Amino acid sequence: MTGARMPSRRLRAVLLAAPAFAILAVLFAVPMLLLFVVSFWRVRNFALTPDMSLAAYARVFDTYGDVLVSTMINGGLTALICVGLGFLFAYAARFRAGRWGDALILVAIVTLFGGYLVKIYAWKAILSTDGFLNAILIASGLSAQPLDTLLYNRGAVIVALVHFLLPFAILPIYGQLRNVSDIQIEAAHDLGASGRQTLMRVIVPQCRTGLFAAFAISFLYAAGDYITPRFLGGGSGSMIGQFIAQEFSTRFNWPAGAAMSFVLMAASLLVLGLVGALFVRRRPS
Amino acid sequence: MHATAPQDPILLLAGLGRRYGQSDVVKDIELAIPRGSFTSILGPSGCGKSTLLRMIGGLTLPTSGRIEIDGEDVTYLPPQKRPTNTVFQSHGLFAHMSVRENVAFGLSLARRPREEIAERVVDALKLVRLSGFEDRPVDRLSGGQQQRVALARALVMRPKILLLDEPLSALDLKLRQAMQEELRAIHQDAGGTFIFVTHDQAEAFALGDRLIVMNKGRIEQAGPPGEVYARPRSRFAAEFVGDANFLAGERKNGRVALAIGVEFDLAGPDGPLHLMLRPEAARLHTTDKGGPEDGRLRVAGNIVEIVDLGPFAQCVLELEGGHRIEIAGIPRTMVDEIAVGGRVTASWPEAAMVDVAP
Amino acid sequence: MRPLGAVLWFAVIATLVLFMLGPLAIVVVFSFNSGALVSLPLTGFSLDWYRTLFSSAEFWAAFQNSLAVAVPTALLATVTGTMTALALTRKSAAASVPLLTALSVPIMIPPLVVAIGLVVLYVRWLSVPLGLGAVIGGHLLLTQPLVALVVSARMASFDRVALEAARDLGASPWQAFRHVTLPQIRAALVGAALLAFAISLDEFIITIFTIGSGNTLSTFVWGKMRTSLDPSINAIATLLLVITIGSTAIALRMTRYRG
Repeated sequence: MTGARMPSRRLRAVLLAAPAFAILAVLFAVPMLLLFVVSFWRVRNFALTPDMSLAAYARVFDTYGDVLVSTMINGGLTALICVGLGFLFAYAARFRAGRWGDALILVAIVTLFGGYLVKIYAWKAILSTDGFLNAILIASGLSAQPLDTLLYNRGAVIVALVHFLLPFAILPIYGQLRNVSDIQIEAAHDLGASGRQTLMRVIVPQCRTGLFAAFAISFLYAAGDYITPRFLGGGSGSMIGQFIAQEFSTRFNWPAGAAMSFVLMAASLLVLGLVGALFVRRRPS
Repeated sequence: MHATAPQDPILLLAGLGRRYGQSDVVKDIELAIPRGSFTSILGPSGCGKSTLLRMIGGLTLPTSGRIEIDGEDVTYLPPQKRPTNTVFQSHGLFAHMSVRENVAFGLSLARRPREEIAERVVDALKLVRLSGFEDRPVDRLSGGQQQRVALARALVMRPKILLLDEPLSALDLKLRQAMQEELRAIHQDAGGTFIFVTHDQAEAFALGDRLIVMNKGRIEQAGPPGEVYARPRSRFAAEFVGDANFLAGERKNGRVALAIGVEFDLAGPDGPLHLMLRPEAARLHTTDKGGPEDGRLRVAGNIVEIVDLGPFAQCVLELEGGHRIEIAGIPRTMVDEIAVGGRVTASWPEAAMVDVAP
Repeated sequence: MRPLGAVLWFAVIATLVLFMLGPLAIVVVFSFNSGALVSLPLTGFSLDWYRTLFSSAEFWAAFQNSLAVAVPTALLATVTGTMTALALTRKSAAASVPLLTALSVPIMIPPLVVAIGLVVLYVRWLSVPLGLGAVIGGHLLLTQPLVALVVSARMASFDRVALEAARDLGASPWQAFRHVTLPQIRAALVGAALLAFAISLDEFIITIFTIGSGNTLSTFVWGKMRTSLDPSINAIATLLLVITIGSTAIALRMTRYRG
């Protein structure tokens, strides 16, 4: 064997990739497996007991079925708004803003790294009864009394989530819009397409995967978030993540927390699968 | 500036100009294009030829002047409302569509009946020799095939004028020559008026039955290619369409004295002048016979450089006073008789020299 | 373009930019405002909130912990991520896409799930004490795929022939890496490390689950957010913004972000 003297290329590649994948295996794959196993266990007298029980899953659907549905709706709404606004923004940056296009993308990148908690805090400060928006509403005479309905509802959660996720939606869409050349737009007009026809038949079809990626990222993150609903959501805006955290850390009911996690991920994948079937058309081959 | 206006032109440009900020990219274009012609617009990059084409197609709006197509004023009409179609340099095919969908795009926007679209797409693909490629995705075609799809996509619309904006410049030489031949054949088969923009003089000559030379936003000269080559009106036109010797001289009372030391009669006003001589118009002699009476000019000189091209050779001759002229098209039989350093005589007809603006 | 269309587009873009930057701008502005309420009118310029913050021992402890997490995270992620990127450019593109995707799964699922998975592993199976080391492990999961993506994007435009020329001239694989590859990807490496640093600094969910006791800057903010609307949050948020956006801006410059 010649490989005995010198490590072969293949072996070298495997060795190079080994540390990252070792970390992935030990800190991610194994925990997910353990979490999956734990989801079938039971809690007896505040102690985890190995079992093969579906009790935790039953509890998810009995107790949290409504919250799960509401979570999917909030995630879906957030993702739809992100895709809509993200496309508008990316389209403007690519085709309408001229030399300001790069500046717009810089705005998106700045807000991408603007801080997760900071944004939630900012929205609380803006929307609270003695907050910024109410001060403007009263000063401008649009409202006589401070509104206490701005915060602690589904709307507040979605606004904050959209704010957090919009840059994540803009960037993949923009990335694909850059592949649509100006020549293609000119060719479309040259062949008789109006502005709307160019948009619908030339531009949108070419950023389908970007639009889907934007939807998927926004949806996955929104549906799995628990800080935003906890902080801004109140009763009507609560989402499954809050209860996963609660079951897990306050009640120490790990099986329930684990089962809810897998149900959340399965439900999310289901929604994404359905949306993906609509979004992504098969290419001609 | 242009040759006598043709009867019933398909395209008429009057005072057409485009200004960006302070600079005129295209200025004062007066042009009439005959119906059914194949016109090449030739010029260096940045001469405004593409802008001119884009204005005809409606992709760039002019800042002055008028465009008429088939008697109708289309100056400010958007591209989708013009009877023109464009083949772009970097084809601009729709990457998410098959060959068929690309070619059918314009017809389906025009809401033509399904059967008609299918039939015309088949015909257009047959014309560009891509039958059988209907269902391929366009990104799996070669560069030449992609450009032919772009051609079919424009041709299928049966435009009154087909505009071609350096469509072959991204292709390699062999493919380009093959495509030039196909374009000529397609023009004959499909009819219609073609306007072809290029910076490559060989391509312009190979393709067009009319040639327009542009420089700095203006038309330098327009006419049949042979005429532009043989009788250029400016030094720029002379140099851009081929190799040229420029002979400086002075005219007094109808007699011209050239700096290279020859004199002859040529009517015209007194003063300095420049005459253009194509290198292949001159002939080389190892032994000098004949006299001034045969209408030829003769100069003697030493050969300083010979480039053997195979079937022909070209050489550079140094004359008295250090003037140099280039002579091309030296036949094979003569190549063996000459050598660098040898003394020879060159001759050319007086009529072969063309007075060009300096 | 019709002027109406232009005006409409301007309005849409301006609104979106205001929506995106407004909340961050408010936080920054009010960090310099003397009043305790984030509301109009502004009561006057003041550095009191920064003074309060800088005189708090808790803040400095959190700051130290944040650095103690973010710096090792950035360094380790850059090493493992870069090694992965190098390994994958040696393979065919067909193999590298699924491998990079696999490495990226932790950033595609809810961080809450990653966090409780880690807690189960650390506490129940490994009996590893929660703490800063535990947090670094979690943050590596999030940052190493990003480093790998950034570096392999750089490697894609890398001149392989130069590498072969180096080998042809007698360089060992290590020498070729050291003298040919590394100088060309150095900027991308620094950029990727800064990105990893910014992400680690900002990360909250995995941190709060795995840190045990003590604070990083993000859990420190969380503590203040929960108890009351303490305006010194504006000051610390502004500091975080400056650090993350600053390091990201440098990172993007160095990696020449291409969408």
